[in-house]
Amino acid sequence: MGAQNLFFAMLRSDYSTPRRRQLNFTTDIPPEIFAAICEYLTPDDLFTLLRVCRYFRALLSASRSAYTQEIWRTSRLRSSELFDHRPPPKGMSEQQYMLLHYWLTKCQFCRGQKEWESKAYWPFKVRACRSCLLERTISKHRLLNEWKIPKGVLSCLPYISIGTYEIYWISDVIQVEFRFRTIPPATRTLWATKQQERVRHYLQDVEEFELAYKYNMIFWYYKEQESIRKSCMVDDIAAELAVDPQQLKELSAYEEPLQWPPKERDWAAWRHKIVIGAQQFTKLQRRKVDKRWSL
Amino acid sequence: MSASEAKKITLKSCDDIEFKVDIRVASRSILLKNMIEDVGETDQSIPLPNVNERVLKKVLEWCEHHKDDPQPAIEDSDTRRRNTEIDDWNKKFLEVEQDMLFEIILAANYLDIKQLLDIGCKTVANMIKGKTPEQIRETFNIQNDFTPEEEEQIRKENEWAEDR
Repeated sequence: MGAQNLFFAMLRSDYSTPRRRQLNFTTDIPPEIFAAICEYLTPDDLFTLLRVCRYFRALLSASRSAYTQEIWRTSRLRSSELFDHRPPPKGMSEQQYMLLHYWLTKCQFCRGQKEWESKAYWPFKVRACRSCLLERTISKHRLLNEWKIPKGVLSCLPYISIGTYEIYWISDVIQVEFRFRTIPPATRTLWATKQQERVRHYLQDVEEFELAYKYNMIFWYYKEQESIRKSCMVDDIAAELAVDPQQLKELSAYEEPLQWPPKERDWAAWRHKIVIGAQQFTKLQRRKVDKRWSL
Repeated sequence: MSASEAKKITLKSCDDIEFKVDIRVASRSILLKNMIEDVGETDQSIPLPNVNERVLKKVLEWCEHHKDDPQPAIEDSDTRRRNTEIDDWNKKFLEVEQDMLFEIILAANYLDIKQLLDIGCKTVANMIKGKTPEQIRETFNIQNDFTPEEEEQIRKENEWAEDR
C-alpha cells in the first residue's frame, strides 16, 4: 500500500469515528439509564453508590425527582424480604424512608456512643437513643409557658405524645417559628392551615409504624418468655425420663412455634409432643442396655 | 423462503457505513419497526445519526441472533426485575470493553431494543453489586470528586450503619 493510501486510510478511520473519545459512566450515561441499571441493585448497593462520586450522589438524593424516587422504590420492592410493601409515609422521600427503616442501626447523633439502644422516631424522622432524643426535644408545656410559642405555630409541627403529654423537636420549632414570623400576617392563617393539614396526614401515616414497633416489642417479649418456659419444661421432662435435655432440644417439636399467645392447653399439647419424642430416646437407651447384657 | 421474509432495508451509521439487513432483524428495534411500518417499502437508507459502524455492527449481530425470539410481551415488571440472570450467549456477547458496553446500552436505548438494553443494564449492575465505593471507582475509572466536608459527612453517615 502506498503512503498516500495509508494516509487516506488514517484520515478515513479518524473521520469515520467522531465519537472515539472514551465513554465515561459519570458523564455519558443519562439519568434514565442510570435508573435502569439501579433497577437490579439492592438497597445496600445504592447506599454504596451514594459514596462513589458527586454525580451518583446527586442522582440518588434528589428527593423531588421522580427518577430518584423510582430508583429507591424499585430497590425497596426488590428486597421485599427485608421490607414490608408499605409505601413511605406521606411527606417522606423513599431514601429517607429506607435510611430510617433499614439502613440506620444506631443513634444518628451519638452513633451509639451514649446509649446502645436506639429507636426510629417517625414523627421526627430520626433514629435516636434516649439521651440524644431528650437533648433535642422539649415539652409542649415549656414551649407554651416559657418559650411563649403561639399555639398556631405548634399545631404546624409533628410531635410525639405520651398519653396527652406532647414532646416537640427543638430545631423544628425554631425553624417553623421563624418561617411563621417572616410570612406576611395576612397569609399566615392560610399557610398555617396547609401546614397543619400536612402534619396531621403525616402523623396519621406514621402511627402505623409506631404501632408496628410496639407489636414487635410485645412479640419479642412473648418469644423470650416462650423460650424460657420451653427450656425449663424440657429439663423437667428430661429429669423425669432420665434422658439428656440437650437431645430433647434438638427435637423438631422443640422449635415448633406455639399458637400466639399460647394458652395452657397449647403448652400441654407441646409437652405431650416432647414426651413422645423423649420416649424414643428412652427405648433406644434401653435397647442398648439390653444388648450389652445379652452379649 | 417467501419474498416478504427476504425483504431488506438499508441502515446507515453516523459514519456513513451502510448495512443491508433483513426487515425481521431490523424489527428487533422498535424504533426501526415503527419507521418501516410508517414509511413502507423503501430503497432509501435509513440514517442512524447516533450510532457508529462499530456499535451498529455489534447491535445487528445481537438482532440477527434474536430475530426469531418472540417479541417481548409486556412483562410484569416485578418478575423482570427479579430475574438478574443472563444466558450464556448474551454473557459472551457482552464480554466487551467497558466503553463498548456503554455504547451498546446507549444504542439499545436509542433504537428501543428493550431486551438488549435490559441485559446491558444487568451486566453493569453485576459489575457494581457487592463492591465497595473504592472498587466501583476503580472498575469504572471514576474520580472521587467529593470535597473534604462531603467526605466527612459521608464518613459520619457510614458510621451510623457500620454494623451492617
